[in-house]
Amino acid sequence: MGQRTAQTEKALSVDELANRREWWSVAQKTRSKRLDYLRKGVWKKGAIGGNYAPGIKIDLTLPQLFTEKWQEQEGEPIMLQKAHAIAHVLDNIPIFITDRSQIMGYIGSAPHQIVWHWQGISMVNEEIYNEEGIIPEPEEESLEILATLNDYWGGRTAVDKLARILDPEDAVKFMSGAIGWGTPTSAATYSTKDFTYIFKGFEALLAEIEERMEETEQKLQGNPSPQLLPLYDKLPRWEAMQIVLEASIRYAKRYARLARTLAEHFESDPTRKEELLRIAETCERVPAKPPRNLQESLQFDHFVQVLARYETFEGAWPHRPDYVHGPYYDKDVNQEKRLTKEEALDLVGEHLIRTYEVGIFAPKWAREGLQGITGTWVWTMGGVKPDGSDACNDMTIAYMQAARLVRVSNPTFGFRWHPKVKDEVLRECFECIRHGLGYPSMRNDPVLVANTVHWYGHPVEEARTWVHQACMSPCPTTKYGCQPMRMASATANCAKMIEYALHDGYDPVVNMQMGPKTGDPRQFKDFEEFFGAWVKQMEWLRNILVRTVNLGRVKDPEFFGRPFLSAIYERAVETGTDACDPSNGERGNAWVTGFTWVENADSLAAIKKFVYDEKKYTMDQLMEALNANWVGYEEMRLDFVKNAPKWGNDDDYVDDLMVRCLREVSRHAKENKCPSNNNWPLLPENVSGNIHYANLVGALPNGRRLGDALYDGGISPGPGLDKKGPTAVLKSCGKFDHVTDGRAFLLNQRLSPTQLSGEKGYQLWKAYMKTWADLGLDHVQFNMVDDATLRAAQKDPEKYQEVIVRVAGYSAHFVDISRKTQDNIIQRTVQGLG
Amino acid sequence: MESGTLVTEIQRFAVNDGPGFRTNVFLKGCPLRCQWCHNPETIAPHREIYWKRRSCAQCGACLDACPNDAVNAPIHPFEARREESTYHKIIRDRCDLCLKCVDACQYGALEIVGTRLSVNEILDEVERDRPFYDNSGGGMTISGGEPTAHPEFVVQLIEGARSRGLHICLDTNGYCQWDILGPIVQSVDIVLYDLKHLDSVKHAEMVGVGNELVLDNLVKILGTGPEIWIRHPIVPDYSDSWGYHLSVAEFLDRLPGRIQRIDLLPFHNWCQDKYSWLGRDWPLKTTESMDPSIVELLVEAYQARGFAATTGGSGFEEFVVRGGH
Repeated sequence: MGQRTAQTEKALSVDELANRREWWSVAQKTRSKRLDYLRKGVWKKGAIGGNYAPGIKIDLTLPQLFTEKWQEQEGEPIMLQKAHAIAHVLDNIPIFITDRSQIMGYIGSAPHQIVWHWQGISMVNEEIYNEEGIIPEPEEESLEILATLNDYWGGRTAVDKLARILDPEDAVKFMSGAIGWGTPTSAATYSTKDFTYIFKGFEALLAEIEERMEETEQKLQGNPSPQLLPLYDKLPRWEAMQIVLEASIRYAKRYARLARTLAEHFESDPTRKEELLRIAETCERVPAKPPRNLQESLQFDHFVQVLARYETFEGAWPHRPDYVHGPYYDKDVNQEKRLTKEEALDLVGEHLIRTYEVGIFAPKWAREGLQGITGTWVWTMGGVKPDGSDACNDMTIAYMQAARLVRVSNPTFGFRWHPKVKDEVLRECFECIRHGLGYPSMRNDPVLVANTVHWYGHPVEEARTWVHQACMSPCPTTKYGCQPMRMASATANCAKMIEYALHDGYDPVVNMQMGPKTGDPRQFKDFEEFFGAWVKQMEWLRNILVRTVNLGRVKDPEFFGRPFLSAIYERAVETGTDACDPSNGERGNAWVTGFTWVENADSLAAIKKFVYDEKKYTMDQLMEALNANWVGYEEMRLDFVKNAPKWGNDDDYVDDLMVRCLREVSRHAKENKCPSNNNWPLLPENVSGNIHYANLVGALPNGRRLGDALYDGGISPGPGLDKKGPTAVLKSCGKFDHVTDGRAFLLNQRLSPTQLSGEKGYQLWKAYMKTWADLGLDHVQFNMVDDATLRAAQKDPEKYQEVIVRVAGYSAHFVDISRKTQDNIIQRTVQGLG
Repeated sequence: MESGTLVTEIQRFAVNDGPGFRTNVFLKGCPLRCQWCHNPETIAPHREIYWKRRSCAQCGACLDACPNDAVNAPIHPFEARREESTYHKIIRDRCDLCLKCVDACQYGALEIVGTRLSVNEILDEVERDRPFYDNSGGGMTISGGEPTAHPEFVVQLIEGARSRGLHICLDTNGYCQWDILGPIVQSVDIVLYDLKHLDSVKHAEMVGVGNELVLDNLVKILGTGPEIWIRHPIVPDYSDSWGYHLSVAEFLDRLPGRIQRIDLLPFHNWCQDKYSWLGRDWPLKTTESMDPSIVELLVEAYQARGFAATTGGSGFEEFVVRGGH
């Protein structure tokens, strides 16, 4: 897009800017002064290309405060010890109020600082020494503090403790980095939160805890019996919950005091003074008591999210804020008219900004994977109420509108589409997509509710409360549905399934025997025998990951401890257990995240067709080419790339194999059990594992070489390999059942802004979405084919084979045509071809 | 029954050729020679070879494979890809289309244009997107080339589509005898009828023949049943003036039957590569693609008379007033 001066930008109207698709400028011109100030004033915490923005520093006050109190309380039960340490942090961490801000709370001492979590993995902690630029000045002093902290926590972190009890062979294979990633501990985690329970207010939760403790103490006075003995352990857990809840209330009141002091002694602007007094009133009220209005409910919510992240690294943000806050919006804006729509939009926009502001240190390899965001914070919108009626409300619309005004890359939204969604709400989703936000992703609610019931037996009313637990997986926000810990640490690098089937379980990249010996494929008599080997490797790969996570999960209360999360978990409060204790009634909602999944189907199809059906090549020849990483076999490789059937083209030959693979996995998913004795279905998605694993997956029969990026995710076809266009992709994806054949399936699609412009664009998208739903797909997210995409296609044509220039009666593949014509098309597209 | 006809492409997710999501079936062969033709590969009624210079590695495999000495020796790929390069791989007048070179090419640089397909093969492919048609009022668009150049085949194709319950658009230039066109149009849902120029002399200048037959057939089609959508290409300095479109609007208004909508299709030169792949020169190559916003203005000439009119022919336009006729 052309560079222009600020002056000419001003001269353009909002409509003109929209026609040029300069959405950031549109947002700048349409949002309030407050939102503009807050948006521009926020520190970007996501790392670009793995690097933090200049000025970002890690916060040393937080780990120091925590550790000094932790050491003082040494010897206490872990949850109690941690509660004391967290309370000490909350009482002493510096707090601040940003100008014009109305929502309080930050994790760390200053807005440019990010949390460095010290109690999870000492290996990660030590990465900090390699980090340039984010150690606070004076650097030498900071490094000394870090060294002291690392010396203490080394060997004491949750993962250090887990590593000691893992099966050594499993540990070595897991640590090879080849088969999966993840840390099976709540030191790097995320948790579902049930706001119907939390919004009772912390004082009510404290009263409930008090009651439980009194009741238990009375029981302990009764006749001694083995049944009484576990009660002794419950008392310190309840005490820990009390300590953090009380400290949380005090933390909020520190903001109230600061706001009041500012208002009374420093602020000269009467409007802001009034706002500060309202902030003070709000922070005195929540989280101690239930919220009464929108500002209080948003503030309560944000405090809870911040407090949870003082306790641990929560890398995702399962939430359904339109559902949680909708009633308060309705009361303030529609009924009592306490707020105008614009004022409400300011609060909602700030909610997005305050969330975007949260920063947590992650080692460089993880940052590279997250591409500019702190975590995968997918907020859930829309959907149905427990009774099945439409849950969309004015807050759903407000969030969509606010998202277009503040344009933050995190949080993003996932929209629960269902047949009763009103047109006005669907249009809001469409506008966000059209504005190039890349979200909301669209989720098929009826399919996913059925899926949630199918896999875990959640009652349907509970399944209907679902939120995105991380990027993709639904989880109910109910007493027994909430999932307290990241179970997706069973994240499988699925391309290894086919690779090990080809190499008798041996990993030619990391050079060790990984999977079982399933035989030399040169000796296999038919495709069935080959497929049998694939099944065995698939089972082995899932088993090793699931085993590790199960162990991590069951030991988590002993190795880590979560007093705050437990205090806001109804089942933990009721039973005096750690929220992560699987024995407290959790129904189970585990899944195996399947990275690099589609490579299996494409590789199996190539083998079946060329080696077994057509006998065009022998397995010997194929193995020779693969062992040479295709070097010296380019013609053969191109044959495998271009002429073997590829997933996503509505071609039954390969699509049937995909279905068969999924059904094998789903059978096995019911044989794997989580600590709650529930199933482990597969969820194909990639985050950015396709890049991470590029150097860890060897040559494959789909024509891929070691080092080539893997496909970009979930069940999306390989880039450039979906040659029949978007309808064929959807048709392929509709060939398996999105309820019973897996947990959820990520699908990326590109759409052209030209097609989506104007009313006709909305009608097109709506018809497309209706068909998507009819075909039973559970997910789709859209990237715009903008000029940046087309420029990328010019540079890297292989990856953009499917981009088609569509005008009436004509079509051509963009990458086929000459540079000059391409430039011409880019120019026309940007100007908005009709 | 004809065993099949030559098809250059079956394009799914077509969104600008009739209502909703459609699958376009491009038949090969056309009696007209419109100078702006953007599908030059559909003109000749026989198979052809594309040579895509960008994909060509200049490996020489085609040269070895050719029995007719109809392939030029490799030159440096960069040299061949230069914009101003006149190098072409195939020596067309020696080529007898044996296609051995296409088989030999590992890089997708040589491609066959034109596959012989039967009615059922086409319809099986078309039917794959039925769920999309159901939600958008879409279906099959028979296009070309010129469908009426394959009269028997097209009648069978339409009959087959009818029996499968598919919505059918026929995209025709109207240049054929009425006894051919009549039976074809009576069983389609919409005729996308090309109008290239109202003035017969100017028509002949750019298309090769006068427009009398085309206009005659247009009058005859009115009242036979299907909706008529006029498709008018807008070519710079030829059919892009306001005055001209006022006269077209008037002409259409006076027709003895209803025109459901008018799609103005701006000229573009994005097909120039197709000409180059066929080894043909294209005089309009250097004519700039039209800015659609200019065409937007012309739409008003039709709207003023109550017609529904578009730029680009989207299948998803929703008209508050659908024609006043």
